This record gives sequence, C-alpha cells and structure tokens, in this order.
Amino acid sequence: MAFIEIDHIRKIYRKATVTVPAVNDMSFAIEKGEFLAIVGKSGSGKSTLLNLLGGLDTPTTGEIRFDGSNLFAEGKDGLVKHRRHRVGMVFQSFQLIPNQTAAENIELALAFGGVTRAERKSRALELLGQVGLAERADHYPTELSGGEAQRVAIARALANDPDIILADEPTGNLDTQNGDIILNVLQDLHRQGRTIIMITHDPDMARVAQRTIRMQDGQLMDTL
Amino acid sequence: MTTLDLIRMALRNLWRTRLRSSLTILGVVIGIGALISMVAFGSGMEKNVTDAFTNSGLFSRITVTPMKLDMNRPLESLTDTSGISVALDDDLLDKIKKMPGVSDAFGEIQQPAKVRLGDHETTLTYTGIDPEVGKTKAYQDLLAGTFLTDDTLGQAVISTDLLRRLKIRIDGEDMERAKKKDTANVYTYVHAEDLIGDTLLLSTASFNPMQMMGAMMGNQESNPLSERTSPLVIVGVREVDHDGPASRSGGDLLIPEGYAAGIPSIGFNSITEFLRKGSGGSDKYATIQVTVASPNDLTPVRKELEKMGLNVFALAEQMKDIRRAFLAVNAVLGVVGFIALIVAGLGIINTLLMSILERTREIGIMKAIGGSEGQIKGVFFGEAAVIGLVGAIGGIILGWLVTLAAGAIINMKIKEMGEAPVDLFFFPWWLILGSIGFAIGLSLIAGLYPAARAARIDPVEALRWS
Repeated sequence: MAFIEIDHIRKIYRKATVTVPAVNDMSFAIEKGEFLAIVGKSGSGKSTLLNLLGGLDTPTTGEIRFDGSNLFAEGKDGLVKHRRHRVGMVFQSFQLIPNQTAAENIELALAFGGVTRAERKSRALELLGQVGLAERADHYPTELSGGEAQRVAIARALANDPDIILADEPTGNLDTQNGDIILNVLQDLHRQGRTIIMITHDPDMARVAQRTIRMQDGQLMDTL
Repeated sequence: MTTLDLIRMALRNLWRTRLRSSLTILGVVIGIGALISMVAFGSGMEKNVTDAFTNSGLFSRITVTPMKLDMNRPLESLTDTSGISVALDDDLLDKIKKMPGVSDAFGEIQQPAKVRLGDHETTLTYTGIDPEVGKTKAYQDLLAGTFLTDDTLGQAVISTDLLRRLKIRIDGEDMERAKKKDTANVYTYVHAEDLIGDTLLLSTASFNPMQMMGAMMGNQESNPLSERTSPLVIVGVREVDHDGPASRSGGDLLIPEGYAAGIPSIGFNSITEFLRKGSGGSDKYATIQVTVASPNDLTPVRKELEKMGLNVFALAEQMKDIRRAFLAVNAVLGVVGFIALIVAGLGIINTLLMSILERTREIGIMKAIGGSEGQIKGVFFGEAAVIGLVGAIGGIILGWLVTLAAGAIINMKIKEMGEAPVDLFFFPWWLILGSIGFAIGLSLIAGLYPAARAARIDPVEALRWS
C-alpha cells in the first residue's frame, strides 16, 4: 500500500451544455517522502489534480487514498481535517490575505488548526524564521517582494505541520533568482521528510524532483 | 478559532471598510433609536397614568352609587323597588363598614350650588364629607390651611381649579410668567395662605311643593324653587389636578357632611333619584366611598356590594382596560420602530453580501488553509453581531438623547401653560436589554443568508477570483 493512491480518479466539469473532463481516469501512486513534479500544458488537468489532492475539490468518480483511507469518504468534515492537518498548499499567486501582516496570515492558519492564541504569535515567528523572514513579520503582503510573499505562503502551509506540501507553480510568478530560493526551501522541506507534489511547466524546476509525471488531456502521459 | 478570534476579525474587517460599516451601523442606530424612543414614550405614558392612580390611593377604592341604572329597561321599572332599592343612608354605611375586607367607608353628599367669593361667582357640585376622610391619601394635597376640622361648622376646603373659575390664581413659582400672559388682567393673584379665613358664599336651591301649584297656575310670584345662601369659612386650599384620576365631580368644594345635611336643598340629583323618592328609602348620600384593606379584597367586596343591588365602580378594575389599551398603543409604537429596524436589517444583508463579493478570494484562501464552513460562517456572523451590538448601544444613546430633547421641549411648553413638568419617557430595564438582544438577534438573522452564501463558496473558483 502506497502512501497516496490515486485510483481511477475522474473530474468532469459541466459548463452550460459542454462537459469537460479535466481529469480523466487517472491512477498512480505516490510514496511517502517523495518529491514529485507534475508537468503538462495549461488545461491538461494538473491544477485540478492538485486541488483534488488538497481536498479543495471532489472527484466525479474515483478515490484518492491517504494511508489506505479514502479522502472523500467522510464528506466535508473529512476534507476540512485534511486541509488543516495533512496538507499545506502553496499557490502561484501566493494567496496571502492582503489586510493581514505576514505573521497574521500564518496565525490565521494556526487558529484554524486549533492553536491557542498565546502560542500562535511565537509559532508564526518561528515559521517565518524557518523561511528566513523573521524580520518581515509585521509587513503586509504588498510590502513584500514576490519571493518573500511566496516564502510567507510556504511558512503558512507549514503552520499545522503537514506531511504533504502541494505546490501549484510556486515559482511561476517569480524571477529565476527568487524561483531558486523557493525551490531550495521546498528541497529543504523534502529533506526533512515531507512529501512534495509540485506542478511546474519549467523543465529545470522539474529536475530537482525525484520523479516527474506528464499530463495531457486529463490523463497521465508518461513518467520521466 | 475562538469567539474572541471571530470578534477580533469582525472588528478588523469592519474597520477595513469603515465608511460602509458606519453607514450600516447608523441604520441600526436609527432603527433601535426609533424603537426605543417610541416604546419609551408609550411606557412613559403608561407609567404616568398608572403611577397617578397608584399614588392617589384610588386603587383600593370602590365608589358606591344608589342603583344600577339600566338604560335598556323601561322607565317604569326604575320605580320597581323589588330587590334593588337600597338607600344610601347611615344604616347601609354601617353595614358596609362592618363587611370583611373593608378598611373604611364614608358617605358623600353632593348637591349643585352656586358659590361666590369676592366679586365673582360660579356654579358647581359641592361635596359634604366626613372630616375624618381628610386623613386618607386622596386628600393629602393641601396647599395651605387644614382639612375640615369640625363636622358641624360651616367650613370649606376649596380647590385651585375652583379659585381659577372665581378669577383667582394662587401665587406659585410660575407667577411672573402667568402674570405676563394674563394681559387682560382677568385674574387676581394671591397667596394660598391669605385665603384661609375668608368667607365663601354658598347658594343652594330648595324645593317647595306648596308653591308648585301656584307656579303651575301661572302665578309669577310662586316659584317652587327658593334660594338660600350659607356663609362658609375657607379652612384649606387644595391643588386638584383635573387631568389626574383624583379629579372627581364635587371635589372642588368640600364641606363637612354634618353641616351639609342641614343645608336646605332640592333633595335629589337626578330624575331617577326623584322618582325613587316615594317608593324606597331615602338616599342620604350621593355616593359612598369604600376603601378596602388590600387590593386583593377589592373583587370580593365589589361582588358583595353588587349583590346588595348597589351600583359599584372600582377604578382598579378599569385599570385592566387601561393597561390593555396601553398594550395596544405600545404595540403600534413598537411596530413603527420595528419597521425601521427591518430596513436596518436589509442594510446589514446588503453590506455583508457586498463584503462577501469583495472577499471571495479571501474566503477561498481561508478554506484552503483549513477553515471550515462553520468558521467562515462565524466570521460573517461575527461581523453581523458587531454591527448589531454597536448599533444597539448607539441606538440606545440616540433614543435617550432624542427623548431627552423632546421631553425638554414639551416640558418647556407645559411650563409656559403653567403646569407642572412631567417625565414623558420611561426606559424600563427590559427595554434596554430587550433592544440590545433584539438588535443582535436581528443582525444575526440578517447575517444568516450572507454567511451561508459565504460558506458555500467553492474554494477552487474563489482562488481564481481576482
């Protein structure tokens, strides 16, 4: 039994009269501690797959099993728990809440995770320290550079100590230098034993992964 | 995520859109302010009326008059004395005094008369009353002098209202203003004390049946009614509030009952009384005032008196109707305020929906990092609750200021008219707490739909939102 088992997963979007199969019958497994890159053209279903893995979306048919239990079996409550404790998500456009400081963005995730108010502040500073941004704690997202904002987002993804980091084109909005920094952070997290699943369209980025899978038209094309 | 976290977040989010938030809150402030001042006005009216009744001691009072006059019965039956004719005389008074639950009872003689003081005269109904009655609560309103002291002497206790009709005004704090308004110099202004010892002339009419025939024969000299004048010494001046419940016909001039019995009079007050004169006993008193020991005795005593065939009037029983009427008034006033609040509620819904639209992406982020539907609902409920709470507190302050201002203006007018100022508005504790609870409740109801909508937002869609 693999750590994550994707089993005949299918996600069909219905828009007006057209039905679009974003993910069309995919099956593969991911091992614990693996660094997996997913590549593919835009519209190939990468993001949909990642959203399904993150419990943000539910499949039309099929299962995704984490440690043998189906993520979608417990309904909404199961998905909330999954998002809260098992995965941390990082997005291309950082997705920080604009009117909250770096520390507060992380504190919000900690609050959802049930961390007491007294602990949140020190935990947030600790997490910012891990990504080298302790001194930027009281800055608002607009006052941060893209690379800094993405590091804050990664710190937030780590707030409730998840085993899995899901990153959707984390370097897509960054220059090469900042992109490399983010990649280094992700590699560090991998070395700490976390499972990293990263979407990218940059073959250079994919090279740091242990395994790269290519998607096309919602299906698994090949493994590199 | 604790409630405190939600409230902090709510305050923050409301602060982010201060102008819109304050306009929404202002809507609640006006709604609650309207509700509160309306209900406070109704409560104030009710309180003034019920307090006046309570203070006058009239709640423990039953007024007994001779018989039940049923207008639907043919006139002949008025003389039918079987079972209903009980004369209001000393025997009856003694009987009533001995009844269980009765603490006291006194008879009142009432007759129409003409009074003259100085150069002016007026007509009224005077009351012959036991001087002992002066000890009761209802007559503790003397401005000067004493109550009647001797049952046999020609004494008089007069009211300020009677004095006014005699073109005399009592010197008081608003004297200067009253004088200024009295441009035609109609009134004489005196101190109440100065009237004590003055003589009041009481003219009564008496009926002489012997002269009746002559008058009917067309003899101009034969007048069956003759006038007699009795001098009365003023011993006391009462302030009678004619708008209050203590006002009763006959209260303007009180004379000792014993003395009143000796004044020749027409002998009856009404046609029914006249008609009954031949058949039943003779009524010595126009009314008998019964005071019960406690309010609980009122109903049994009233029933007992009714059984005796007497006509009974108890203000306390009327009070139920008055209270019911005020309940209706308060309900109508409340509805007006309620409508204002409904509008405020719509404002809250509008504001929250706007805010959800603007924060769609933020809601998506919250979901992505582990926020549950319940917590997201909580965020918007928190905002609704804060709007409600702040609005309620503001509304109470606004309502209080409005009633303060309105009360001051109205009392200014009342003072100009020479009347005593009144508290027009009353804020019972239930109104304050109730309106806070109501505002928060309403806000939460207004928040129901927006919060549910926020919670249902699809995070995948929301994160794509820009």
